[in-house]
Amino acid sequence: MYRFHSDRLIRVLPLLVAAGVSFLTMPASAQSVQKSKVEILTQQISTSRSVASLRVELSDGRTVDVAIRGGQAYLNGDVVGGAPRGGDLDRSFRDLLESISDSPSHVTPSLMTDWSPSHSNAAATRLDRALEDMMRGITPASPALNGDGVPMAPASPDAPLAPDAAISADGVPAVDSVDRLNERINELQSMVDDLQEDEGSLSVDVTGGRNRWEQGPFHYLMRGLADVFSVLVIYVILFAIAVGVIAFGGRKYVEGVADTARHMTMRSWLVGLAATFLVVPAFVLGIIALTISIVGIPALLAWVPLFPLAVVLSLALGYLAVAHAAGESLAERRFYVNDWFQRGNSYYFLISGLGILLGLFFAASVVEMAGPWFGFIRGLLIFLGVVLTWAAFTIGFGAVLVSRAGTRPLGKAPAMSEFVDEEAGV
Amino acid sequence: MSVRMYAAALALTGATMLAAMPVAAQDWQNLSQSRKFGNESALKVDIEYGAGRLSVTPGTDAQLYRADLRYDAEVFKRPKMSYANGSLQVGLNDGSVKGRNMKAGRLNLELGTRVPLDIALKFGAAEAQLDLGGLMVKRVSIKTGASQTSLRVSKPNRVVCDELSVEVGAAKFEAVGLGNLNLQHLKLSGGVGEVILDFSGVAKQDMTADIEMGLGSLVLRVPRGTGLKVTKDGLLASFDSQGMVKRGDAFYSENWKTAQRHVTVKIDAAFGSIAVEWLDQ
Repeated sequence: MYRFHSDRLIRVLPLLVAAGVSFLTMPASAQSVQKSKVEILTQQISTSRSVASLRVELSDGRTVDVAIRGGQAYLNGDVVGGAPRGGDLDRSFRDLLESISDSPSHVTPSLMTDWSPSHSNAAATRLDRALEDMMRGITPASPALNGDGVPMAPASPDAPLAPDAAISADGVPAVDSVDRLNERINELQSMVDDLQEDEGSLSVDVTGGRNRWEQGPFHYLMRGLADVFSVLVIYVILFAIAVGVIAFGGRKYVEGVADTARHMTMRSWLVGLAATFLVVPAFVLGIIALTISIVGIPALLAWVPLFPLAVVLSLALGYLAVAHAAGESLAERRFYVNDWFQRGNSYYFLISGLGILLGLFFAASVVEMAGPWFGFIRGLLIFLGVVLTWAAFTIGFGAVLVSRAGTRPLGKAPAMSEFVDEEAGV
Repeated sequence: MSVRMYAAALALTGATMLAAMPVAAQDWQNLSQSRKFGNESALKVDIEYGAGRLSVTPGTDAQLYRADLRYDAEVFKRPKMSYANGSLQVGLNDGSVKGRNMKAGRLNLELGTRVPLDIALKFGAAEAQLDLGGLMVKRVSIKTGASQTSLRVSKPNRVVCDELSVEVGAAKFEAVGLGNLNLQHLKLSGGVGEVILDFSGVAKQDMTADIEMGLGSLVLRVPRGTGLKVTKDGLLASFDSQGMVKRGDAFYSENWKTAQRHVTVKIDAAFGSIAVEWLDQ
């Protein structure tokens, strides 16, 4: 009997062990099902031309991050396969994201579960399965639960798999457990990276990093003083440029353009306005023409940098010339003959002319010191200043073109020397 | 600042030149985030939105918030949309929108109805539609520059709102249904523009208001059953005090003593006009 019982016990023992193991694993499986009732805590969707991503956080703290960017599909930060822009997976995933965006939150789980890419490949299958697993409460990275509901210690990736673990209770091949573990590690790594990024990111201070005085009672006074100073700096810089131009032989060109601007103001403005509209098309057409002509291709090397440079120099010359003209016009109204002889020069004209052009900005800065109550007046002054400056640039640009950069000034009164020469000739 | 003004003129000239150029493609990006209500005791909402259309509306009982942001990723490299420890931060504030078409940008924010809210809104050149009806609003702060803002309280607030603070620059600001907000104190500082304050709604308590206006018009729309007291301190601001009686330094509505709800308004205005309109509720 004993032998009989012993033999039967030996034969039945593996079955009992297997049954016991099955019994012990049953609650775990059941608990997995229980855990499947976890809810979506947050969901974040981001879509653009190049990126489509979905990040879901469950109420138990787990997250899944699915993204398609740069032609690759990512699951928790790892590349799982190709997903070309406009391809089946890309379009299908974007459709899913759009559906989730347009639907109430409680519909999200069913949308994610029902989603299946139209043409499955390896990447599509993995993403599809990841979303479905997550909605079942079993993410690829979810830790297994033992009979007590405590997460089991993860096995070493190098550890051999037990034969019994070939198929788990929920039907997922246990050979995936190593992959899951790796994915979990990668997920944690990506979370750490995200946290580091967050820590490294700087939040923008909406106060613009203002100093203490900027928020005090002298806020407007100090800001006004700063603006006055900046206007003066601009004034000095422009005058220095003008002095440089005049001192190095540019006087006749400045005066030529200034005379054109003074005496043919409307024509200069219209030409300047037309030119500002046409300058970019002319630049582009020039490039195209030179390219098409083949032989002109070497000229592109000069055209591309020199054309914009010429436009900028023309604008600068035109603005200074308009300032010169304004100063000259003012001087003609104010000076007596002696003054004219003493101060009737380009430097003086530019000093006063730049003052006229920048005067509105200066006045706006002074008004700003008075406090917030004169904001409307200040805004009006700034607006007028901007319009005046734009008009000066436009008229100056047109005058530069009309007078061929001052070489052929129009409207200029004949110089006294011309009369003398004519008389001498007679 | 003046450098920027001067640069503006240069930019105007440049813009004229560039007018013939095709507009550069904008990389519009959509960012959506939602969170389920999880018995949070309070939610602090910080919104900083530079340009575009802003909408704040009541959500559902089940959600804590839902934010949908559409922005130009070429301009705004780092949009803010984060939640942590009862604080939600949403916005765009790090980009320059000069020369960009921002009309297609938008931020739609839905707020849960079961959590007390402390809302701080800062927005610039935006068009804002705010509906705080049916929420649990404890405090609201609105700071806006050049924009058009419409604040509506379409349903009664579920809690007492301690303060509504509004700072508007050159803007049109209209607040309708302030009675529904169950508000204790309104503080408004306006620069240049048009401000309309509509006190209609189911007010449960008296309200005080401190209003500072620079240059512009202020319209107070008050239900006929509400007692109104206005104290005005202004240099050149006209006051249309129809239906009110002056006693001492203040103007009182005829029903001041008998009214169950009172609104006391103190106005400090430099220039402009102040008018009271009575609503048949």
